[in-house]
Amino acid sequence: MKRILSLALALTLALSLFVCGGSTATASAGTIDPSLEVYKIGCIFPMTGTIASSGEYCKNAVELAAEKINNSGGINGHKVEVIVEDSKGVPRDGIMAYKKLVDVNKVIAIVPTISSVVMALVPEVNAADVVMINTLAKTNDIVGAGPRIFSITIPTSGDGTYQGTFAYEVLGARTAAMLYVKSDVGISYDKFVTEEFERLGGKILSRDGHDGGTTDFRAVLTKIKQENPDIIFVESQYQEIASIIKQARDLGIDTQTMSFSSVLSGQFNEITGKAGNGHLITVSGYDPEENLASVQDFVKSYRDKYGAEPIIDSAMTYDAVMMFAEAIRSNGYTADGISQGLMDMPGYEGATGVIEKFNDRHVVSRPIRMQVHQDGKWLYYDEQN
Amino acid sequence: MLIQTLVNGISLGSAYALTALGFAIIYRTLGIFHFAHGSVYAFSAHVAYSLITLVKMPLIPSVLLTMLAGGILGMIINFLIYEPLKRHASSGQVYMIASMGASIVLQNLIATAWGAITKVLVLPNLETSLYNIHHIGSAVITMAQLLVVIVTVVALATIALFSKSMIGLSIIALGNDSEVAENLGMKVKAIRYITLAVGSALAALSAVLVSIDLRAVDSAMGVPIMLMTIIAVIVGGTANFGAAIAGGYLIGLIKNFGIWAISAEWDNTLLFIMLVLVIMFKPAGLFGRKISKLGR
Repeated sequence: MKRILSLALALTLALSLFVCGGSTATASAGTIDPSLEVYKIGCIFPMTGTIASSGEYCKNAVELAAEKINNSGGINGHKVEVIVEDSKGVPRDGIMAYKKLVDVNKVIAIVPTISSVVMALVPEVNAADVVMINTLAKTNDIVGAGPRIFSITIPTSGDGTYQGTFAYEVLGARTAAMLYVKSDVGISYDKFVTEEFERLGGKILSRDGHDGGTTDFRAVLTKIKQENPDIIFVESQYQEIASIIKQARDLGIDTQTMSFSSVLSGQFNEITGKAGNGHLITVSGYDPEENLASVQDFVKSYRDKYGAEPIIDSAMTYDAVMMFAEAIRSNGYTADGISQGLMDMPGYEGATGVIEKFNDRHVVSRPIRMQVHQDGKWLYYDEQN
Repeated sequence: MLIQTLVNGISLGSAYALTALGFAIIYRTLGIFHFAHGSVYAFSAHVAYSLITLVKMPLIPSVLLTMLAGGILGMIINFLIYEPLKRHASSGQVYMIASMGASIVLQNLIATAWGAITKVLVLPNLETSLYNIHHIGSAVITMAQLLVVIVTVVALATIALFSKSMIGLSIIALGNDSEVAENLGMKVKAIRYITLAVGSALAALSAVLVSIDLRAVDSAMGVPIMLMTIIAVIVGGTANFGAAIAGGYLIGLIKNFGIWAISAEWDNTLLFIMLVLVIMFKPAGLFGRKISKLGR
């Protein structure tokens, strides 16, 4: 019996590993010289767990980036390989994935996502010869976190503050309700939006956090309906924002809603329908409608390859791999070389639009746009530079 | 406000009641802490998504086929995991660990087959009527929410009738004393399969109703529902099936009233405090000995 049980358990574990395990992707080379060293870029995404959907978008994007680089001859004839490991969206698993990438795969450039994972990796990266490009962690703690840590997203203090100002000064809101996802990003937005709105004289009537992956918000929305605020800030993940807006309108709440760019996914319109009209978002970086060749080229390539619309997670991770490739091309495949290459880069035009030069704290600055949803489109509303 | 919270609580509680009843039927009859129940729920939601949104099948056949798919998956789990363990007289802990393993594997298989991206369940023909809003006094309820409540009541009534049938009584007898049931000549193996099928079909029904109501389907959606199901069954009690149903409704109401009275941040904390208190002071569950019309 014990033997069969052991076998059953071993099989179960093997199956789990098979399904959860890391994956690698390479693309056929153009003028790649197979005798040359393969340049590896490690990616740490949540491929399983409650936020696995983000990981899939990112994995698709970095594989597309590697394919593009390799199809145009790689980096000076070197083939590029992206190795995706699963963080499950959990810091502990993120560190395990990092150690595997660095110790086993000998990776020196990494692209992680999810704020808590990124922040857990900061001491690891600082203690090793590894360069990290932060794509999506908007927490302010990432600014100036290490000599080889770069950020191509602007921190929450930027658009969070803009949301507070815009709601108070432009929309004339004096009372607000705050809904946020209990993640580093959600908590960070809650902090900066609330601080700015209250600093200007506004009053936050209620602040409610929810777990990631929540789909039923009727209870908290019923409470907010009674409070009758001038505006509802929704600092959640994209599918959650869509559910919140839809359920709010179903409950008869016509209040202005505002959130950040995580909502930029085709599914917002599918979930909300007309109920999503008028919802405002702050966007810094990816805008699929942006009339820039690099943006449209990315959107088209992604759509052609995967038959789906990319989201901001895809665009950011795509750009990170592309920028690594650019830095390696100019300064060589060493941690110092890549780091210097990124610092020296005058700017970069990619899937997320124009990325300006890194400042001395290794963060780029980007303009922040306010966009409004109207019949499936995100229209330009305002901009802060 | 009070009525709206009550409406929301009953709607949410209906979904919990269905999964809790399915779990309780399996737990009480087979003594298995069926962790894979949540993954059966997620699998069923994906089947419903495929049938309704991709195949564009009408609603009623979609619901019935989803329940069938859920039931078959339950039987497959029994065939692949529980029956082999049964043959080797494994302990309850072994069943539980195997069930957890099955749950993880299933969740990942779902993500592999359908993708981990959240999918939107769209009803092409029925959208307008199903998402219409109805008023109950000052409260509003969508037709989809109402559907969850009505179908749940019908399903629970059906299960109550089913429990009086020969198969239903056999399931209850097996739960009461499997050895005696076997000695009396009952086909206990077949009853075990039927139990898993019925329990899983209830999870599938809950999944399809919730997915129509909330529209979003993703591979990890079984985890939170499993958590709520376990709390509902423990808080309600495991001595009979009615207690699990009552537990489901109670959890739905407490979640909604908790958010209203305190904050959304504390809803799960509130439930866990209640769980601990129940385990400490009423280990048989709040309704463990009172409600006995269904089951023992």
